Amino acid sequence: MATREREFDRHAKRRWTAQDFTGALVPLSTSVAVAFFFADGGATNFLDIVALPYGVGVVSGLIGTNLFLVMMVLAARVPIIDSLFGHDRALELHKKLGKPVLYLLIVHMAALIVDYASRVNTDVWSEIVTMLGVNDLLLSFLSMGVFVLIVITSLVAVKRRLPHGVWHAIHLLSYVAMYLGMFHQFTQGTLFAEGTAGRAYWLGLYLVATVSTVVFRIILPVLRSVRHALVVESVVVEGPGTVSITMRGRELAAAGFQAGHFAHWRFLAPYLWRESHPFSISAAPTDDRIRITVRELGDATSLLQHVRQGTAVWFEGPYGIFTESERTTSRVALIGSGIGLAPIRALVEAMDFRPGELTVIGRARNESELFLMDEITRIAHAKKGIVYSLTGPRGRRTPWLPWAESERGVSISALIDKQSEVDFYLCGPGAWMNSLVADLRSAGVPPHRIHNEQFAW
Amino acid sequence: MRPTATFVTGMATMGVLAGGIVLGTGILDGTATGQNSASNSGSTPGNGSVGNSGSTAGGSTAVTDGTFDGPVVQTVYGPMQVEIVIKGGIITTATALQHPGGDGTSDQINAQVVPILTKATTDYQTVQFGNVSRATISTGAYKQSAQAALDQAGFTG
Ligand SMILES: Cc1cc2nc3c(=O)[nH]c(=O)nc-3n(C[C@H](O)[C@H](O)[C@H](O)COP(=O)(O)OP(=O)(O)OC[C@H]3O[C@@H](n4cnc5c(N)ncnc54)[C@H](O)[C@@H]3O)c2cc1C
Repeated sequence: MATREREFDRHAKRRWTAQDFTGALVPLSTSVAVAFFFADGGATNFLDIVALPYGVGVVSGLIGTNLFLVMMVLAARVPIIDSLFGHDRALELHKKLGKPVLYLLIVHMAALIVDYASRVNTDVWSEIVTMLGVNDLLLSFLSMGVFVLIVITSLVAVKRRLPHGVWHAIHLLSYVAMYLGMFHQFTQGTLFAEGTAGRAYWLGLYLVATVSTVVFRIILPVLRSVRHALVVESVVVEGPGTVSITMRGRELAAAGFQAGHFAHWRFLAPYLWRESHPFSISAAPTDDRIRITVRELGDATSLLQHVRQGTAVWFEGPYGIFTESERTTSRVALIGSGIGLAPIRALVEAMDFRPGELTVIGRARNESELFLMDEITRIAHAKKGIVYSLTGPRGRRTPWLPWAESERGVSISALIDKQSEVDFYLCGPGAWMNSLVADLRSAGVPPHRIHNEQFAW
Repeated sequence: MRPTATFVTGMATMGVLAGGIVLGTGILDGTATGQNSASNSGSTPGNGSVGNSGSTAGGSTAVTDGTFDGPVVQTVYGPMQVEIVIKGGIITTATALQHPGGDGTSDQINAQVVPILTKATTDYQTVQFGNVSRATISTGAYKQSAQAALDQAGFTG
């Protein structure tokens, strides 16, 4: 193996190790929470049918709450998590945990109500009334109510019907739910009573979730926005309903932007200032300039087509792992469709290629939607890469390709040789990427060589 | 996650749980054990040197003799309130004035637990002892109320 190959290999292995260690924290922290209960004598509850509801209730509460705090950390955009797993994968896990956590907390509540009611020999309803009389428990019932609301509004069917802003406002109530539920954990039972190690540990978890949210979602973005003082320098039309916005700022190198990153941008202009939207950077960043390319899709993106020069811009980021740090080998294929070519444009410029290492494939319905393709082609040719521009209506046999190529039986193996030894960077609409990934997998490309960025969560 | 990492994480997770179970077996029904033995060792019952133990602990507070009622602590089973009697600087009796199940409901667990807790209080001269398993809610409430009563007396153990 050439030294260059070995270098890529070593880099990839280091990343996987770091990912494994970080990923292990989820089951480990959960087991520590349960172990505190067992160390407090809790395991004996599982030996006795009468005490079983109590054991099940406490354990499900501990696991549920621990995972809930994990969800909060996943949504906090912690730099180390983002750089190892990517914002999208962190959010994917966050989404996946939502329902199981709700179910665990419901089991927790139900099992303990039944347990308490049976111990004092009363019915479930009068026990609930007793519980509502205990302040901290009243708060935890409220917390449960808020949590149910959050999960319901996040169900795909419901979320699609809600405006993004409404959904987001309800989602922010998670922080309220988190604190409302906290008090009873410390005052009921001895597990986290004053002076115990369990209390210190549990408070520590709450502290981590709170601090990472406040620091990484509020303080750091504000400090960065103020320090780098971005303003819109120019707006250039790239094609139908699409503009490139170049922003000028100070000391941008310190913000750590890399090609392939995205950020949430907040343009301080009428209407736009109220929400931030994610856009990828569409050129290799420099110390004083950064560029994004925006395609019109809804309200904000259509207003951005005419954003004024001099508009101040705040941002949260950079985020994402659609960058060179994910690269595992020397040969690379960059494949983008439509506005998905924006990060491809940045990557082709910033990545290091020797002759013959690079292939670029641009895909769109027609020439005018091959955004930034002229720039991409020029840079790729200068780096002795191969460029394919594929336009035309979607194929039937291989939907990621145009009709003409698809029906002729073309697939990825016709465009790139020895595909399994190539890193693939893909960015485009979801259905298009699914078709492309399927094609790559059947051509024998291993999953760790496929890197993708989707413009939607 | 790679297979080896998954395996190692799985083993570590089980290890942590097993560790918890092992630690927890020290806590058995009716055998509440002293935890903060270091800080309690000076005040075993009968040594009588209460004034001294107060000053060795570095506190200037003197222990007041008398009868002290802790606050009523609400639990999901019902209220818990502890009364502590201190004579000659020693906890002579601990009584649960109110306890869950004390109002005639047949709460067997609490009926068993309360005597264990009151005895442990006088035996160890502190409420910093281990928990009675399967009754951690009542134990917690008992300790909370009793500790407040001890604080009123200036009793630092
Ligand atoms: C990681 C990432 C990178 C992106 N990069 C680019 C890019 O380089 N160029 C580009 O043109 N577009 C990019 N997008 C898409 C862009 O963010 C959306 O088109 C834009 O937010 C739509 O806003 P709107 O108000 O115009 O449309 P709306 O009508 O409000 O929404 C249209 C769609 O965008 C989604 N959306 C709206 N607001 C947000 C938000 N704040 N966060 C996430 N999704 C939202 C909605 O759920 C809906 O599906 C990217 C998206 C993501 C997630």
